[in-house]
Amino acid sequence: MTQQSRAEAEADADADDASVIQLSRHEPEHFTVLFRRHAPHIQRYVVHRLGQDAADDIVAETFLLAFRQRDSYDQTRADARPWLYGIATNLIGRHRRAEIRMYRALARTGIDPVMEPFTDTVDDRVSASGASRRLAAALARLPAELRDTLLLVAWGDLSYEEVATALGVPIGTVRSRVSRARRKLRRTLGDTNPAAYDEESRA
Amino acid sequence: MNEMHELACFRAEAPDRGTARAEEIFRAALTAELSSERKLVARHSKRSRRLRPAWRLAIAAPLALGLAVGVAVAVQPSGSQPPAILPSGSRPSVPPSGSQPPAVTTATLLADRAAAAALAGPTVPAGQWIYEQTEHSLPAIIRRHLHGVHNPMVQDGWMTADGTMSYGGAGISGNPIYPYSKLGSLPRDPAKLDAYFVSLDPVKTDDKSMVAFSQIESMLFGMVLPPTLEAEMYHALALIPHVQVKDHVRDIAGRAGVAFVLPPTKQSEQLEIILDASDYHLLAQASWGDPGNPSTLSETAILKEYPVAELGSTRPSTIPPSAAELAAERIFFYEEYLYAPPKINHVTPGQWLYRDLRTGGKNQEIWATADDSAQAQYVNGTLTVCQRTDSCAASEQWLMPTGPSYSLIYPPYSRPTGTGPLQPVKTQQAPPTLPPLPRPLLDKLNTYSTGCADVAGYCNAVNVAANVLTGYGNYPYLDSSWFLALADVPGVSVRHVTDAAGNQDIAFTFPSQDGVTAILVNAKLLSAGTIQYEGYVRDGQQTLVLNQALVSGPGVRP
Repeated sequence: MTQQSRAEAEADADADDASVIQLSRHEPEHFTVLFRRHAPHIQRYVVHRLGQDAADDIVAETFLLAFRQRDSYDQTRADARPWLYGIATNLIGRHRRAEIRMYRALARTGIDPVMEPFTDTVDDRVSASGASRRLAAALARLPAELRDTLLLVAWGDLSYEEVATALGVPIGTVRSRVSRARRKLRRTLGDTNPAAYDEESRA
Repeated sequence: MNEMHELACFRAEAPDRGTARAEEIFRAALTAELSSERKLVARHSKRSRRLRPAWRLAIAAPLALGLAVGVAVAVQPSGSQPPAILPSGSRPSVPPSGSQPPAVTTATLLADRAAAAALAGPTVPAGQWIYEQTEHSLPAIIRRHLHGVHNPMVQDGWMTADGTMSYGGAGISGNPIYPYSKLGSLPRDPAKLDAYFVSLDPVKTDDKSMVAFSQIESMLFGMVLPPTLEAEMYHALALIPHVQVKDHVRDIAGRAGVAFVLPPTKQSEQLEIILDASDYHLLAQASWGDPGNPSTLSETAILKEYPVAELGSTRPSTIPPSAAELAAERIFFYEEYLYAPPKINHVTPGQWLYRDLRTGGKNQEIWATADDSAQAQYVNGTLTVCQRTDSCAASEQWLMPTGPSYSLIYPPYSRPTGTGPLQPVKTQQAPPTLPPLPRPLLDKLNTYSTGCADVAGYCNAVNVAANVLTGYGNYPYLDSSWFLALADVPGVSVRHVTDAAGNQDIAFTFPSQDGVTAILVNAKLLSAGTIQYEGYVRDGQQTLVLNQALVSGPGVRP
């Protein structure tokens, strides 16, 4: 890959995603700007769902797939995050079983396989809270489409409209999925800790 | 809202940054991508191992797809390595060695045998509870982070045959992708079935074989299909392009099997559905990140799966669920999904609630705290408030006279100790609760003395349930197994009745005439997904909760 000139790099830094993608159609190197710009956020989202090791591969593959599809990118969308999150979510779908098993492992044991690599010492490795375990159990039981939608909102920090774009569904579908998913989680958490909600709402 | 807050705190210690490794893989892949576009030999980084085959397949796929559907056949002798990625049909067949049983040579033949086995099986009603024990093996990449966790891990639990409800560790993937209630409208032709499943894919994945294979897998493992449909699923599996048969496999439980195999593609790990080698029933689902490398195996094997009479039972039984059980399951289902949120939920024990009750044509306004530790009424225009601890308590008609304490049903919760979401928190001692499963719960509820005589007929449990439903202010989040417990009372039936307030209700009706004889749930709202308790019948007289609302204090009307 050729090195970008400083001037080109600075021009890219100011350009919106759509322009960068447009440039990359003929000069593929520009696509790495998109990687640097968004990979940290996508990485965080994927790590949350599948852990570090899988995340590295998925993030790389997300951008590779995006690169392959760059010709069909809708140039009216200045922000590429929904597109990238959509691809990443699709890739996460391949690891559905692993994701569910990790939630279940956390729910059953209190030890989170996703977080284990981030704890350096034995002392740091303490069991998850009861709330985390219940949450993990609830996440494991969510239907895939509800989980994808909810987690794009919660961990991808996308708006409902952006989630709709990412998943290619109407915004009303996103609303109803989030609402259903939240009710299901609320029930799991609420079964044993109703007071928590009041602490929240009164705070 | 709390669940969003919990989600935000969940795994919050994960680093908020990209990694050099991800960038390294991406750059290597991008370089390779550009090189392959230029028809040059790509230079691969070691890390891009898992990405490489994808490109090879991307080139191979058009060739493979050009071949007739269903010819993807490979015979694998025992212990052989799983197939490398090649266009199907280009691989020479390898005959099995003489010492082994004859191999199932084609996916079509395996499908025929599996279909015949499925057709010989029983039809299980949608609401039938199924007991399931599964063994899970995690890939090393996950496993190495799990200290002190047994691998493989054995779980058990219950699910309904339609896969809509599960309890404990049953159910492979939470919910099947295609709903049981719409099975009747699935195409009755295996090739059309594959195409239909592919068309359902919301993200329009390129790899249609993977989509069809995964969907069928979720149908086979996520619910108990009617025999004819299960048979069709096997035929449809055999028609998926690239699907092969692997003989002489063993699942993680060590059982001899034969597998439908979809070799890895750019979209997917290698997927396998393993059937029993002798009778072709479903044994396991497996996926290999790197075929043949056991450390990349992820597998779920079904050790036990059979119908039981009720949630919580592990004794095989083909007795179909009763009308009362089906009604209770419906409540359980809606508790799980809560399509329409209840008006009152998640109140603190001291929250005041207003209730307008009607008993035998007489209305009564009453204020009570959610835990019924204090009640208030207007007596001759004067508000009287009584605490349970006061001397007035003895003469008070309490909404919740006898039964488990409020904290047993809604255990108190204290926020995790720690210095905010970024710090790990210590496990909290779980507060005592009632038994979660219906039968033990019913037995426990029956131990509270309500003064009735027919204890063997569970009169105490029925009275206690009515007390809790009427007297504690958190009902919508009552554990949903309560109604399943009531459905276990001997002789219980469900009737459709019109109550004194004109509501169409489902009445759980109990044979004992000792105390509460019926518990009423609004039928119209239930069919719309809301569980609303309406009241109970005692001594032939209805007590209905006409109105219930959160208020700021005693004497305050909503």
